[in-house]
Amino acid sequence: MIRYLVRHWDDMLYMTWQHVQITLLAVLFAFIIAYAVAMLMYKYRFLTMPVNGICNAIFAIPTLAMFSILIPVTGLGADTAIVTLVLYNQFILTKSIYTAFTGIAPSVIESAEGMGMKESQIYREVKLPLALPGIMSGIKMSVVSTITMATLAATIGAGGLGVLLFQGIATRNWNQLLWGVILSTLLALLASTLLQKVEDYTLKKSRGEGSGKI
Amino acid sequence: MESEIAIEYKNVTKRFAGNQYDSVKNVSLRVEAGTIVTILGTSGSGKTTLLKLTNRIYDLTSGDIEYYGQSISALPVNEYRRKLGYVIQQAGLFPHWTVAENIATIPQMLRWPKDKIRERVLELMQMVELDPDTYYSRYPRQLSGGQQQRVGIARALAAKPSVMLMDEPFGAIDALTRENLQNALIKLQRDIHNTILFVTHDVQEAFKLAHKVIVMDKGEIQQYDTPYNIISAPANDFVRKLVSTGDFYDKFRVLTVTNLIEAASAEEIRTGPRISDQTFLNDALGEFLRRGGEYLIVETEDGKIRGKISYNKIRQLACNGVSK
Repeated sequence: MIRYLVRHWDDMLYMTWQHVQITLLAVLFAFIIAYAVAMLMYKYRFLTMPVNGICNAIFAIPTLAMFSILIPVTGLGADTAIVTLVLYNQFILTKSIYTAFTGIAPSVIESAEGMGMKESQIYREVKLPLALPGIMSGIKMSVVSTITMATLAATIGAGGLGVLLFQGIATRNWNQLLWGVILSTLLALLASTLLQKVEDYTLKKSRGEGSGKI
Repeated sequence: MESEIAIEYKNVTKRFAGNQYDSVKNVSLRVEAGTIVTILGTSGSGKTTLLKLTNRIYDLTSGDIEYYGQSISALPVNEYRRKLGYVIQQAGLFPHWTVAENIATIPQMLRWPKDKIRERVLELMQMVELDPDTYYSRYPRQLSGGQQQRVGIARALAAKPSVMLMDEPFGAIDALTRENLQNALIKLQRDIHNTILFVTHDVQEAFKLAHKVIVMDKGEIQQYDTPYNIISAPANDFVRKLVSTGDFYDKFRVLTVTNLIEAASAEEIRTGPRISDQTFLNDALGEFLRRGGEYLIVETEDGKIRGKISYNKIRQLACNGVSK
């Protein structure tokens, strides 16, 4: 195993980097879209049902089926993988961002309005800080599940740690397979731990801990 | 001389979209500056709607509301709201801000200088009886419900609003703490002479706090008068039923001696024991039971004699019920 590592460490490093890249791009695009969608749902509540329905339906499509739908459009490679991951992530992100905002106590928002805070002020100074823990929790789930799902990207030539797994199985190279398992698990664990820390920090802030500004 | 009118409702009507009835129906009344007016009614009576029309959380269906003679619909909404204090039931404090930051909400918005804000926060904390050394840097979740509501009141008072709107602020608070808060509010208003519109479904609370009570039912005003007048001359069956609950002692706890004052002789004034004209009848009765005696001399806060109140008058009131 160690010999495999010594011989292939540069390849493995590159694949890890590819994996991180695919994950980050997918979550970034997914977040931008999901945030906009969630804000629309928050403003126009009647959208909640249809949007959730669509997200559930997309999430129910098996990954390989999704690839085959998309390959004619976006071709083989990372693009297709990223588009797929962006679509799947809507399921997690729209819901968590939406509930992060709807979970804010109505009395807090009512008193902010009653005191004559502007809408932009209420959003920036009240709603966002209070919704942040929920949003961060969504991002954490989304990153971790994307790291896992992104291993499948190897099947369409998008690279990443999935290459180690699939090649390992195909060539019965157990060392390679094992390294694939170890690296992708480590990556997911690392991301989860880091993001949990961020989430905890925002949660503390929103609940009222730490020190005030004045 | 008629006193200044802080808020005037002119044929105010509100019907919510999709409803077949008016939640507030043709309400016309004047709220004098420097008084506490309570809006009393059951749920669905329109009391909260009337309040929320006042700070434009809801828009009028028809009619007009004037703030010191200006139609509120002509005022820029956020600037107008900053002139009103607003206190709601769950206090609605910002959980991620300290007590001091919460109280400073509006001064911060108005970009007061830092030391002026700090000074004002300290002053307000004294006013609502919260020790700054202990509570200045605390967060809302570290406070009891009563303390949170004190912060809510301090926050509403921060920029010295001429009018304060309070929507069942003590509704979710235990009886003992509620009484403390009521007394604190009465004292506070007496000191700063602001105008308070106070929504409640609690008859005792409405009568105890108010200079004048608005009794509402089904969106309409049933009676708008002083507590004494409403109790002694209910305008209709609804009001009569509302005020007839409880025994005379309940009423004694919310009526002050003011309405029973008689002229006192110089001799009586010289020798008689003194009580404040803000004393509630039950406390005056207690005073008689403790001291014996036939009368007490009633004086204002600053020591002006208003006359006397006699034991007989209170006794009559207890025997005959409150009537004119």
